[in-house]
This record gives sequence, structure tokens and C-alpha cells, in this order.
Amino acid sequence: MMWRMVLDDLYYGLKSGFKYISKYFMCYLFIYFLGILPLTMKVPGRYLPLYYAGMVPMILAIFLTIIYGEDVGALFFCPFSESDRKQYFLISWGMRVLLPTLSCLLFEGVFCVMGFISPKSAFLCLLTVMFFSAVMGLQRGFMNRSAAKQNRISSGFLVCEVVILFLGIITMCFLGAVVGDMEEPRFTGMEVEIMLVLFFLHGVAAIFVILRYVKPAMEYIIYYEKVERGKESSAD
Amino acid sequence: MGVIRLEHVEKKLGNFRLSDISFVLPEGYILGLVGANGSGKSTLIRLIMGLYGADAGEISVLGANPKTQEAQVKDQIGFVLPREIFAGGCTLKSNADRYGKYYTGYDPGVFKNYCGRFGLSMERPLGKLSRGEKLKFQLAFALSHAPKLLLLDEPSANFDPEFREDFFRIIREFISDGEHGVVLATHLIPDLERIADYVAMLDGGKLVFCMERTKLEDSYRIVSGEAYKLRLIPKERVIAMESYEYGARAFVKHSKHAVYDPELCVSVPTLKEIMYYHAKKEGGRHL
Repeated sequence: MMWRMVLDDLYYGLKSGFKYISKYFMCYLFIYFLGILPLTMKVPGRYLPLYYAGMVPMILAIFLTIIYGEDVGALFFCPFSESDRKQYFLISWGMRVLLPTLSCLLFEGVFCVMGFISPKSAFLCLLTVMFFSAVMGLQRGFMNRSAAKQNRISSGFLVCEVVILFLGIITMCFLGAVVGDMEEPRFTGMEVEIMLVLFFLHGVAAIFVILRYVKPAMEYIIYYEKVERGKESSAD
Repeated sequence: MGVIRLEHVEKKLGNFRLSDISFVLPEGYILGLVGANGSGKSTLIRLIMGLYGADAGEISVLGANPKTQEAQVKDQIGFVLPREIFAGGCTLKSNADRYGKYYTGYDPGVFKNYCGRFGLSMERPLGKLSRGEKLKFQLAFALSHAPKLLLLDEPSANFDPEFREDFFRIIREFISDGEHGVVLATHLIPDLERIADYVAMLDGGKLVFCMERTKLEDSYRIVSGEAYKLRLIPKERVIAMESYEYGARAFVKHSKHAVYDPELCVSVPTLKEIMYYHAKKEGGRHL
């Protein structure tokens, strides 16, 4: 039953999601990272497939996090039990990780077959996308303080989310746009080392955030009392 | 069995405590829940819905525990709540179809009929509706999945006078088969006087009383006259006393054996007066 609800929410989220992102600055962020940045950094054409194989799924992860999994009110008021809500959380989180990961695999598969990407770069790129979408998909909140406050998202999580967001994007920029393919790098000096350090930091930070916040994020979906406690000054 | 049965229920939320709440709402009746802001009405409704778990005591809704048999209980509850639960970006029809399928008794035809009756266009986005229309939508949705219990948290204040009449008629129709129940939390005493069979008053998290409305009006009297004569009424019967320059007025417990000085003026209090004096006794909070 919860599969159905997750898919429904995704469907309705997609319908209203485009309106939402066009209303706020998110669409400019997408245009910048997918269009303007590769142009301004003068990324050679042979490295663009790698850049897009990572950046498009990461943008998709942000998009999915924004558009669905937010309207948890109905989960509490419709006839669902605690175990149903836990299932909903796990499935919807899984979807927010799975869809970007699958899209990354698809792009990489095609580009690997065409000889644009080496398996080593593809692997690093895939891991970065997975870490990134796992944290972003944990809970909506990044870059939207009022939504975070309304949803009782802790400021600690918000900070971590923003850190992961920037680390992920910078790692991907270094991997795709600055360094290029690991087998055939654009630059061979410090850039490769910086990229590896960023990749390592991003991975460690993502694992830390997941371990630290997965339980509170799940409880937020499961227990209404957790959401409401402290939100109301009055007990009316 | 009773639609709702609460026995010595306690709930602590921050500095607020709902303490020792016990009452039974039998099938076929409407319970009016009244109290000042912060008295615990919404907390009580959330406990009945199973959104909160009680710290102590027993709650039974339609014979089941709303916390441990949450899905089963919620399937039988229709609600109209002040908070926005449904998706504002979706039309009324999409919202009803999207969430209605999780209820075993949901009938889209019934929803459509109620939307027509309430003057709601099913193709309008929920977010574009006025406050009153959103509540009408919630009511239409609640009634369309054939619940056994309706929980209504402050709905009527937002309804226009014309719809309010229809609202009362719908609620009366809903309980007319003697198998359903309604809990109506409100500040509007005239609404309770019109519709409630039972009245429960909360103050500061405590249940001041819960009884049949007709019995409630038989249980109290307002006595006015000279202050020294009022002071002769046994203290345990006096709930509140107001003194004026030329006399006094007391709100007292009444029984059929109660005797009053023939020079005192004795009147039957209205529901509003009963609430007022109880609130005054409990610390001057106003409804």
C-alpha cells in the first residue's frame, strides 16, 4: 500500500514541482550548473559527458527532494499505522536515492560504451551521486530555513545538508570540469589530489550525516507527537 | 460500548498537562467540547485520533485503542481540523481521489454530491479556496468515506450563516441512525445550545464537567438578592459569587431538594452562564 502512496506522491509532486522550482531561484541554480558553469570553465567537449553524468543526477536529487516527501500531514490523518509510515519513509528515501543513482548509471553506461568515460571515473562519479542523494533525500530542508523551521528540522541537520550540498557540487565540478577523466586528466598536478580529498571528505561527511540523522528524520515521519512537540506554544 | 470512552486519561506536553479526563460518548449523540484557548480541546481530539499517546489511562474509540489499532480507528474517523492536511496544489477531486482510496468506505459519488451541496467546484485547486471553503471540503471528504465518528475542531466559526444551518442539519442526519457519534469543539456556545446532546468543559487541562446538556441546565441555578442572604447558602453549593453595591449574585449547584430563601431571585442559567461561572471559578479564564 505504501508503494502506491509513494508513487502517487511522486506523480503529484512532479506535476506541481516544475511550478515550484520556476517560482523560486532553484531554476537559476539548475541553469547555472548545467549550462553556464561548463561554458565559463571552458570544459573540453570530451569531459562534458562525465560532468553531465554526475551533475544531472545530482540536480535530479535536489529536484526530487524539493518536490515530494514533504506533505506528511496526510500520513498521520489517513488510516495508516506506525509501521506503514516507517515503510513510507524507507521507500520514499530509497526512491530519492535510487532515481538519481539509476539515471547516473544509465548516463555512465552509455558514455562508457561510447568511450567517453573510463570505469574509474564512472565509479567515483556514481559514489558521489549516491552519497549526495542519500543526504539530500533524507529530509527536505536545505536552503529553505522557513520550511526547515516549520518541519522541526534541527539546525545541525540543515548545516550538514548545506555542507554536503556544496561539497558534492564542488567534488563533481572538480571531477568533471576541472580534472576531467581520471584515466586521462585535464590537469595532472594538485587538481587531482584536491579532487580525491574532496571526494573523501564528501563521502565521510555523508556517512556521518546519514548515521547521525536517519533516526530523527524517520521519527519525524512516524510520530506525530515529535512533529508537534514544541511547535505549539499553546496546547489548545 | 460507547463511541468514545476515556478513563483517567493523562497527557503531558511541555508545561501543559491534561489530567484525569474521563467520559463516555454513547452512540447516536453529539458531544460539545468547550473551553478557553489552551484548555486542551485540540490535545484531547488528538488523543482520540491516536495522534498522541496517553501517558496514563485508557482510551477506546469505537471499541478499539486508537494508538495500537491506529489504522483501524482512523478508517472510521472523519475529521474537520483547522490545520491544512491536504495538498494545496491539487484540485478537490485529485485530493479526494488521492487520499480517499486508503479508506475502506470511500465513495467518490458521495464526495461529488456533498461538493455540489456545499457549492464547491471539484476542479478548483484546494489552495485557492477560502478558509470556510477548505473546511467545507474537509467535511465533504470526511462524510464521503462513511465514518462512524466525526471529529470537528472549531469548524462552524468559519462557515457563513446560510451554510451553518445546512451544517447542523448534516450533523443531525449523520447521528440519526443511532450508530454514529460527533465531537464538536467550539467557542460558540449558541452552536452547542442548538446541537450538543452532551457538553464537556475543559479548563487548564482539567475536565470541569461532562454531562447531558439538559441535565446540565438542571444542575445549576443563578441566585441573586441581598448578599447576607446569599451567604446563608451552604458554601459547598456555591461555585462563584459576585458582589455588587446593592446585592450579590451567586452561581450555585442545584438539586431537586435544594431550598432557597423566598426573597432571593432564582433563575435557570443559560449554557453560556454555566461556562462563564465555571471558567471564573477556575481562575478567571474567559471563553
